[in-house]
Amino acid sequence: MPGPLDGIKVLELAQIIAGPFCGTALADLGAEVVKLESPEGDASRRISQIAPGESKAFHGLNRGKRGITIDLSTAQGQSVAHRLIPHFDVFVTNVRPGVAERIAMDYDTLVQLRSDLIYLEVTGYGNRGPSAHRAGSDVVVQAYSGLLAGDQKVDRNGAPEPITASAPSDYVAALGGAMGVCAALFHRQRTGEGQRISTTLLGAGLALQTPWAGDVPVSDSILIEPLRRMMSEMREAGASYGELIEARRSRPNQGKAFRIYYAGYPVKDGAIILGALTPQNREQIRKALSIVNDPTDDDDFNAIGPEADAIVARVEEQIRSKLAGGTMDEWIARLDAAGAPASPVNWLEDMADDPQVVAMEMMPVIEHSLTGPERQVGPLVRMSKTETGTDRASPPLDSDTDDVLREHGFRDDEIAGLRAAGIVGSGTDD
Amino acid sequence: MPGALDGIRVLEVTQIIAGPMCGVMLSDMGADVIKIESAAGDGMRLLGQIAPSESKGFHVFNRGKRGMVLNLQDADGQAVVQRLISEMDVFLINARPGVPERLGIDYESLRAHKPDLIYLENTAYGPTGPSAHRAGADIIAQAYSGLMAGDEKVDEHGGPDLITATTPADFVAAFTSTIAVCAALFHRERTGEGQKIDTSLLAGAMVLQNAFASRMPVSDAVLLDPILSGLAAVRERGGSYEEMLGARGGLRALVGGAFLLYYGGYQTSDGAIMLGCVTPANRQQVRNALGLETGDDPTDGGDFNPLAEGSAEVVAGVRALITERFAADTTENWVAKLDAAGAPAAQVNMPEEMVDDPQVQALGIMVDLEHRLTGPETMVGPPFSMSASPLAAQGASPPLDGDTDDVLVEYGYTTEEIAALRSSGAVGLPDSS
Repeated sequence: MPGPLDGIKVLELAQIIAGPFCGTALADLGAEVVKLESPEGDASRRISQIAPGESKAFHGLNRGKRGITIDLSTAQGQSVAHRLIPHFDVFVTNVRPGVAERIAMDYDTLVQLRSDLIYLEVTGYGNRGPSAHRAGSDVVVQAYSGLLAGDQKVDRNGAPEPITASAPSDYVAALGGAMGVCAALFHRQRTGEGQRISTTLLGAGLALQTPWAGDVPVSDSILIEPLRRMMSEMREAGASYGELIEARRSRPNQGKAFRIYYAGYPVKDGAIILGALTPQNREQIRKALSIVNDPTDDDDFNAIGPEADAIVARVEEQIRSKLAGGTMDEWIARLDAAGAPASPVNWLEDMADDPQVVAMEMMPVIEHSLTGPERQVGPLVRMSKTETGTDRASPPLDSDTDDVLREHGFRDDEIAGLRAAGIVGSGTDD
Repeated sequence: MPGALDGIRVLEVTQIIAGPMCGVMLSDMGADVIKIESAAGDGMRLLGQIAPSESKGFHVFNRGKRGMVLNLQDADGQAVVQRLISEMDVFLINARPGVPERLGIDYESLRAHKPDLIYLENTAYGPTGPSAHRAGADIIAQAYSGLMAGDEKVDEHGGPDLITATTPADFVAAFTSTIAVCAALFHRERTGEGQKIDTSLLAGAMVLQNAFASRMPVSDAVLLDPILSGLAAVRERGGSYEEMLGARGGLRALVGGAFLLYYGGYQTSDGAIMLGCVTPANRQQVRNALGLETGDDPTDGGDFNPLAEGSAEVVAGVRALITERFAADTTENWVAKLDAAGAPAAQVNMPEEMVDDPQVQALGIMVDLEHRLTGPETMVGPPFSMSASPLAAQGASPPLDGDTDDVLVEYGYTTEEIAALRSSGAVGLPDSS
């Protein structure tokens, strides 16, 4: 059963995460994705290398693609790419603003070669505005977008500690891009028209903060304005980053009571998480843990009143000491039986063998031609009529250059000439 | 210019974030989205209420939609969904597995009325498997998926300190759901065929760890297996969560410590700065801006072995040097110097202040809307832009029961029928009849 994007051809000029993962998402949906690399290759090939030009990160972010190598810093290389473009439906890039123009791979140039092209650009800060030309990567945009400060983590030296378990702005920008491409394919199918799509790490960072980053004056006058005032007064008085975060963390706010039952606690053999969203969930947890005398869900409880902090601390302590007396399995069994949302805090390294992950086939095995079998996080979604996923691993550098050129009308002697001149290929085999 | 999904009709039975946010993005792309709530309303209406059943969280996750109240426990309420569905293209639900069947709004029941329906079901753990029926929420998926332990933050009591700046699994599930709906619309346009789509918070959290979660024996033997055996040893002797993190983090720091020198935060004389280098060229740009000599940092040389004895001390020495340099000047000056060098760096902004940021304003990321009950509001708008079929926020969120009658009239119900449904409690709020 072919995927929903069966027959769609994507040319990807991208590296690290945001661009490549968009390509992977499209490949998972059945598109044929050709990754165009410079002779040096995508820089993520060299983050914790396991073989020359091969890394676990590159493999995960580039499965399902074919790989070609073209030197786009040369006019000849550009003309090879231009000869390929008419055969492609979608072009994906995450080069910095200005670079695409310099190497003649910008929208205005490529749309001359394929009038209904869908052109996706992923940038750090967008293609206009005062920061458009600044360098961006996930943690930088975490910092710029407020996501990092909003996470309120500070290291021993008082420096901001980023989210490191993932690169959230990168992934969400990649997913936004894939969404745009799918919507644009639908639009093209209905109207015949291609278009240009822009997605940014900054927009992704803000989208992830949708509930907090906006202004709803009727709500903010009570909950946010005092915080903004406090932060600007502290900054004027020369407060350090750590002091700002501490003040932000400890201010009176409605979320504190909520966070008693939406938090992690240590247990005998590790830690568990409670994830209550509703009063019913909290009641289920109180029953499972025999928590008594908790007024935080009563109608007359004032979450920002003067007594609130002491009450919250008392209830939290009751839960903490209760949970410390049991193991993960014991508590999860009781909380599950009560219907309450809870989980052990698992280790990523164990997840490939987790029974739920296995049952959902979330981490299928694929075979890499150089480094052997690997189990990877599989497709984003499952669809009943259009299968998603891939059994093709990431491409070794330069592995499909000749095949792809041949399929698109290049003769063997032309290819040999381009290789000899160093225009295509990684330059290591001649 | 209409959006890419102009004319597409979506019915959603969702609450909290993952399902509603998918509806928002479909609406941003031009779809007509109708949200069905129970008389109690989406649970999100009650989190941080600013007026009865109105909250900032609900407003941002439900902009651009029309709202109706149906009692889906009631056969007459279910019949309304079955009558509406024949004119819909897409149905979204994020209830626990089994609930759609109980309410007669599962895929098989609804496709009987609309054979080419695109039906999206988002759950916590997925529709099958040993955890399918367990309760879930974003932080449950964070914890279950390894994302939380992978973030390696511990609170003052030794428990996990979760990611609170966002709900990552929810958002990624919303994005993957929306991608799938668009892909399914494309497929339907080419073949005439609808289908069922499954997404989950667990899959969303796993996607976010794509780069780290895979198992690759040839790499794991060197880089991962020692971490796993260290972890197992701590578990064996009954160590705490913090000790387990220490065992994992210590070995990970050896592998990734040098990378994190230039991919992390430092204090400046008046605040903090974040570096985001992913290439050797970036790292050199930072060293140039800081005035570090080549000999000051041996970690970027090809012959530096992070696993060799003494490597951790070398990395710590470089970190101390960088820390000292940044502490000597202001954030603004450092950002200017690093920008000039071409290195990725930024000041650490506060989320509440982003509305006024010049770059955010230049891109038009925030949108201004007017809510029927609570007035003007500004919120994060569409997550990307399209040149030929632009995205646009279609309006504010609906008040509870705000559009029930209008929608029913539009889909062929007579005023008498509506009055009868209201008085029987099948539609609308209990006191509205």
